[in-house]
Amino acid sequence: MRWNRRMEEELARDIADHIAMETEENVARGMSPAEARYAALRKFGNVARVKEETRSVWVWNWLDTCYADVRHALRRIRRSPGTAALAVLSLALAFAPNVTVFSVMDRLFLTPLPVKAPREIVQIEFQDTRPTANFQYLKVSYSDFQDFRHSLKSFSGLAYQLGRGSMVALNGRRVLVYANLVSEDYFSVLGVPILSGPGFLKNRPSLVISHGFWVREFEGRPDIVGRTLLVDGRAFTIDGVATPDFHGTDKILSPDLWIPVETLLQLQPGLRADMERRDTHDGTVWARLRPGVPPAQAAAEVASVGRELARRWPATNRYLAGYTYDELADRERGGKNVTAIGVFLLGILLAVACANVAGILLARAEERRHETAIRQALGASRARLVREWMVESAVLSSIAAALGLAGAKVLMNLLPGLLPSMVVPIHFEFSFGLESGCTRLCWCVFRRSLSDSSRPGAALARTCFPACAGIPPSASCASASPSAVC
Amino acid sequence: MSTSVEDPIAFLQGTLDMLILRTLLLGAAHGHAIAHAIERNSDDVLQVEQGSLYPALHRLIKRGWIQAEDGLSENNRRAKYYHLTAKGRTQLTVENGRWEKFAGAIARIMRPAELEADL
Repeated sequence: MRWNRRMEEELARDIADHIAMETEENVARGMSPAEARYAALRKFGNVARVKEETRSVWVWNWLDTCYADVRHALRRIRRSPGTAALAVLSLALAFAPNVTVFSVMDRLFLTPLPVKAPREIVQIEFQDTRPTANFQYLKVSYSDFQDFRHSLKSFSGLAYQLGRGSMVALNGRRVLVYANLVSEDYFSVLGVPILSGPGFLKNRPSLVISHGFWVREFEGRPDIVGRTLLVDGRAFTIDGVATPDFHGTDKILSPDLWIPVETLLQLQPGLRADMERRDTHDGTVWARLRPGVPPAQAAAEVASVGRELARRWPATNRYLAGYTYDELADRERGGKNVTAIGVFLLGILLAVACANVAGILLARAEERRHETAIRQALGASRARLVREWMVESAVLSSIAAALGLAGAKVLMNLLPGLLPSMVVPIHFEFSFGLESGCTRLCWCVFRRSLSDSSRPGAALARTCFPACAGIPPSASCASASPSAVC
Repeated sequence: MSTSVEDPIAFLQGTLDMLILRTLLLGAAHGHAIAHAIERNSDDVLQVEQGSLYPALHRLIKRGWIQAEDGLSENNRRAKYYHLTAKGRTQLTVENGRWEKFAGAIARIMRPAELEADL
């Protein structure tokens, strides 16, 4: 039950009734009315304190005082806007790059592939056994993929994926998009659900579009499934929209379209010769381990199928050994190193900002010594005063956090400009819905920053001064998505 | 349940709670009547600061030991009547047992000679 206005009124009435009854009794005993009331009040005790104590029985008292603290903090901040602005700005300037860098690191290293049971997924690649090889590891051609798929028994499914740019006709505009040519069971092997629509159909040229593309180019219209889309001059039916959190399986690039390879080959038979070449090592092969099969056994099978391919196709595969690549483990390994370095540098940045703000606030505390002394003399407990300061710091850092996030968004948009120019223009999408943003924010900050304790800055900040009570929200969902602006 | 007096304030609150529960065992009563009953039945030794009754009453409501409902007092004033719940009755026996243990312990310390004399 919560303490509300009705209960407040009832209590006031009960107390008034009580005092009235006592007064009546006193009058009956022969006191004058004024005397009787005074005696009743004296016997009752401090009415305000009784109300306060009764209220605190219903806990909510705590929230009320917190609310008062926040209002008080805002008032104090308004009274010295210059100092506050300085503090907020120095924190925001530290937060913004932090969020940006962390977002990119998160995308590259910290989040596993957005697929079902990512631990079961490995990549199948070739290892060039020649010591003079230009590239030690090679991707897989479509024909080799088909052979692997046909022979391998350790996996419940293999999916193929090849990225390329495509021209899409949209309302008379021609737009360059990033498309993924995939095997038709790509979504089912990865265990990625389709938001709406049946997914790839066999009886017509169909494709799946990304959620971002759907929102960007079709304003998220619900009647999108079944519409026709012209891709490279060929008509496809949109038979599915991917879920918002599936950005494809590349590290940076998010595809806008997924097109089944076989469908494309039927529409453009001229491509078949190209696709069947075994010396084009440009396809990524994702394989899902069959439940219960040890990874080592699967790797051995891949190696043996690789030897078989080398025997059958000596011209192209002679020096290629089948190789399973645990992308997730690699991500995590790389993640640890890069994050450790990044976190150290960013931590220093944060620590500097915090020290800065601590200095500002300390100077202000000195100014307020007078006020604090008076309040203490009036009976404010030490804990109460400390809490007020904490709340004020929290308010300051919340404002700074909001500013920092806004700054990070700007930075994220500038980021692609720093990359070498590409055929397909990239832009980073800051997916910052409340549900994804906030939960991931808290989740990332607590899980990654605290449990790894790999975030000296934040830890230091929190202990060194209350001003930094608001931990920088250095996690957010960033997604890069190439999109073309014509 | 322990009878140690670790938190004197909680212990005193517990005692007041027990007195209220004991008073309500005789039937529903309003706040003023409860205060008077405690004073009268203790031959005016326990002068409750009447206001302190209210936080205690609310504490008991919150724990589900008593319930409040509106009624009319003897001289036709509206008043809130409090009555024991089944849970409150059980609690009263618990508190009672605790109190007797405590009172007995104090008594043994304060009057060891008399006890010996009784034997």
